[in-house]
Amino acid sequence: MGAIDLADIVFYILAIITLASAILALEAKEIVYGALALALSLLGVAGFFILLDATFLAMFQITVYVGAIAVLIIFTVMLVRREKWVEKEGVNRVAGIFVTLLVALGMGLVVLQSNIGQRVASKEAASFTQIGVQILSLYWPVIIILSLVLSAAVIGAIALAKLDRG
Amino acid sequence: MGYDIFLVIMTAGFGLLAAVPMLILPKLLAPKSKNLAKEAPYECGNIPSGSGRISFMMQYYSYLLMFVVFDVMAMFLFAWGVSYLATGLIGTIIISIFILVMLIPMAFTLFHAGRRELW
Amino acid sequence: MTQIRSFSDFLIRVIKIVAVLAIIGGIFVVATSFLQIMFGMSELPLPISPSDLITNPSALISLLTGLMDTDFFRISVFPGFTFVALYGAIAGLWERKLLAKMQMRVGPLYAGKVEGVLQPIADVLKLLFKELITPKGADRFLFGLVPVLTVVISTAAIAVIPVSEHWVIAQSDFGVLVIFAVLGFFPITVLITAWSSNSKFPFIGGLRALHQMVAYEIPLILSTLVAVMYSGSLNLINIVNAQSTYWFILFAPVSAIVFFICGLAEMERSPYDLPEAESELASGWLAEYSGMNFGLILGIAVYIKVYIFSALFTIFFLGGWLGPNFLPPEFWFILKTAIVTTMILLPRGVLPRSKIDVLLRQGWARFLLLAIVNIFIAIVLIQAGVIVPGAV
Repeated sequence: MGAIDLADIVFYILAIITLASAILALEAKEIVYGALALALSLLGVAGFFILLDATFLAMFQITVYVGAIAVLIIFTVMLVRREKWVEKEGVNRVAGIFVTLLVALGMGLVVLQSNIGQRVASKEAASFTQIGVQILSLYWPVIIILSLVLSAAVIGAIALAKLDRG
Repeated sequence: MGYDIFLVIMTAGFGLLAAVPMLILPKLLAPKSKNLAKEAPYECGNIPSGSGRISFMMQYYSYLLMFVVFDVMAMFLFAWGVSYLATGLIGTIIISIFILVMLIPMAFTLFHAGRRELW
Repeated sequence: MTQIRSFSDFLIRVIKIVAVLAIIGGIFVVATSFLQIMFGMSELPLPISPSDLITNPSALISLLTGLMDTDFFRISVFPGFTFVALYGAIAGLWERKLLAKMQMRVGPLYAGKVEGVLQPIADVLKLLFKELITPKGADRFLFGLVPVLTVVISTAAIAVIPVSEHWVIAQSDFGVLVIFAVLGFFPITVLITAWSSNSKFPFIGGLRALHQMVAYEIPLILSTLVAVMYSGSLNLINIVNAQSTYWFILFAPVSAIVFFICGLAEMERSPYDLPEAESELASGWLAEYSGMNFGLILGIAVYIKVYIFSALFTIFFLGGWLGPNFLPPEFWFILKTAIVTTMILLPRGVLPRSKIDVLLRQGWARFLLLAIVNIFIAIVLIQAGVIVPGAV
């Protein structure tokens, strides 16, 4: 075990923040707190992207997830009427969280045992220009399919959300 | 590595350090008096009635959905814009198809947001 | 706390403020300078002995220059927080004077000997003495969190804005994306405000503010894409340097207009100040905030946003700090930013407010299409060889 450097400390702090807020997102009594905790865990994931030298992805994550999707979730959750909540009976929360963490630990150990730590990434991080070139030259079907999927998502969501009187 | 992002967070931290004393100081200095009328929610002089969180017009919900989708599109447009010279004509055509396909749900959304009776 | 009954009461209170500020400031300065030196961010030519200072006073100059080069100085003084706060205070005073002259009034006149110059300080002192009221039934934690969060997010965006090539806090290769990531936090802030004050006016006002901000954020992002295309880089310093022959506003006037108008909408200024509508919604989403809560959001954070948008407009379209060489580049930057700020402050005295449905429809339909149209103009100009991205 080598010396623990600053990157390790940041990694552990980010991991704790992300996991804790993700658990809080499910367990919070007040549902808006849960939605805000979800936004915090998404910020933690963005922090991981920064640690991995993918600053573009981190900014993408913050702009899209925290700036748009979290807003949508909080907005929707905010307008739910309180009388319609149902609390499930007979659920043991602590045991549930414990089993979840155990499963996550098991999966993590399996991944770590597969020699994934031996691979060394290329020394340079890809610059944003290279990412753009790759997206548009080699991965161009992805862009076309992405536009179709996004359009379908919007049209479907509106068609489901509006009342059936038209 | 992420030194520039670290500096951004440090600047935000400095903002925090500057803002917190400004909230602590009034707690020390200002007169405090509990008054039922002062703490009730403000309704221009009426006695407040009804819950504080009422339902809003939902017709603008489609705009929020559009925002998510167009945010993703804007990010991909940036990926194209920075590497414009390197991708040339093919890249421009692909991105144009992207934008044109996106205009269809935009028209759909604007049409449905205007029709208030549907929401 | 008793009421103020005489001048000596007032004096004692002011002395208390100054003492508390001095103690906090002192602890802060000592702590951060220790942290600085510990993390090796400063290379100060210390130690200097007093006899050295007397015989060789130029050592003091090198110490001061070394101090000015540290990151801490940049974050706290220039071009960081103190500079922006001063700019905001001056902009606030300038706005009130400007509006007053437009409405044939005088504006603030009595604070300070000359034309009310000390008015911002008087305002801050007054707000510090007001009670912070939390309405009953409001969510105390979130209610208190929002003003601090607004100021923190506004300050974070300053970090990548360069005043000149040397004076920038964080020189990021992704400067443009960092700014938009930080700006994306504001809708969440407004939403939390709307929800946490358990009251009807802030709720409606907050949702209106949310829809307005969300509608105008996409045209804002797309209008800066043109400047990024022309310079071929996301680094704000490279964008300014690419304008050394001609400013980008000549080649992208439509984008500049779209950026300006969407900036007005993001800052919730006239004609888009519907969420803060003073006469309609009783100051909208801020209705339940009193005293320094109000001062933080409506005073400091708004003017920090004004600075950010003015600075971004000069960087993207007006050539940043480039100007004739007989004056330092920082001066040109501040001059151009001040002109843009004046143009931002003016519509408040002139234009009426837009209605919410007109506003949203215009933002989504008209401005988005205008921004996309200018992207196609930019494509044509680059293909025609008028501008070569990446050439300085």
